Amino acid sequence: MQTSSWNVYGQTLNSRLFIGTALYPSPKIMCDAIRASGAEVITVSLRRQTAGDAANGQQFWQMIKDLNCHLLPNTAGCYSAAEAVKTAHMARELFETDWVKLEVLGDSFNLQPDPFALLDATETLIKDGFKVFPYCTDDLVLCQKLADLGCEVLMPWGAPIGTGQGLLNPYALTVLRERLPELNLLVDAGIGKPSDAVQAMELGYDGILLNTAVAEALEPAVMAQAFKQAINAGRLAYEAGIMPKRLQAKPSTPTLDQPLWQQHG
Amino acid sequence: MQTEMQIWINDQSVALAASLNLAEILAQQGLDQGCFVAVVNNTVVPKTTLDQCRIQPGDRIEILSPISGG
Repeated sequence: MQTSSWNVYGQTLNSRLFIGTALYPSPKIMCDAIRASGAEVITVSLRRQTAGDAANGQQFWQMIKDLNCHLLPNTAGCYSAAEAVKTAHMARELFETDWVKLEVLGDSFNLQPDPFALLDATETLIKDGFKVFPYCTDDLVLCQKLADLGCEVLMPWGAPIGTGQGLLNPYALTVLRERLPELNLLVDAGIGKPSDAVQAMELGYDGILLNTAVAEALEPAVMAQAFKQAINAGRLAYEAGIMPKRLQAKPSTPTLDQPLWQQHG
Repeated sequence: MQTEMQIWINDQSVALAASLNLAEILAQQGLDQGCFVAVVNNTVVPKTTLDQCRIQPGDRIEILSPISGG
């Protein structure tokens, strides 16, 4: 059974997994993993080209086009709003999309988003006609301000990029879901294993963006399948309605008309 | 005798004929293949207008192409 389709900035999607294109052992393994994941949105980036590496760039570009996915260019490596805005404009021309995964980093140790610069860049880019997917922390007030600026999608971190630590602050992520019910929320970064993705989806998150957990698996295509199934399972569980936790045990087998010798005090 | 000008391409200093437009410069440098975006002095130049973009001495050109990203 598949989960229901959803809508992202006017685009209907069936998969709730966004997947990155970096860190795979080879281009072929990347393509195999992305296909196995069922993802319909893939993240890409851009860098200066030199005459010497033009051929490699074009080979990568052809593979990406052949995957026939929606492209979500990122502004990875930007540490100021101005840099990120400039990179987003380049990406729009290069990839012919107004979608942008907006990364504005504030610290090089944990690659934590700079919330102040992120708000500045978001405001500028929305005015410039972009559909912004901000990579943000799980801070509620920041996320509310991003929503106020016009973001329809927010992508709070589960843990720092590439750490695979899972959801470090489930409480904060739960509050975000509770307080921003109309927004599309994706956990971006920090997902290490399929159960992390299940946990986020069971919280009611709309999707997951990940890269390293698949790319650095021993068998990326197999791990991609595992994440596909995990995200599907987590979403189905959320849609089905998860039972509340109780303190006291409650028998699942009916106790009515039990034989007398089974009755206890 | 043709006048030369000094410009910057991806932070490399390059001496070129002063009369060339951006499309001609990219072709001459082998940077016009496939998917790329050109930026002149921090302004993106749409692909459809590369041949209308006149390059001045000291201009800074950046050429970017797709790479993998997370």
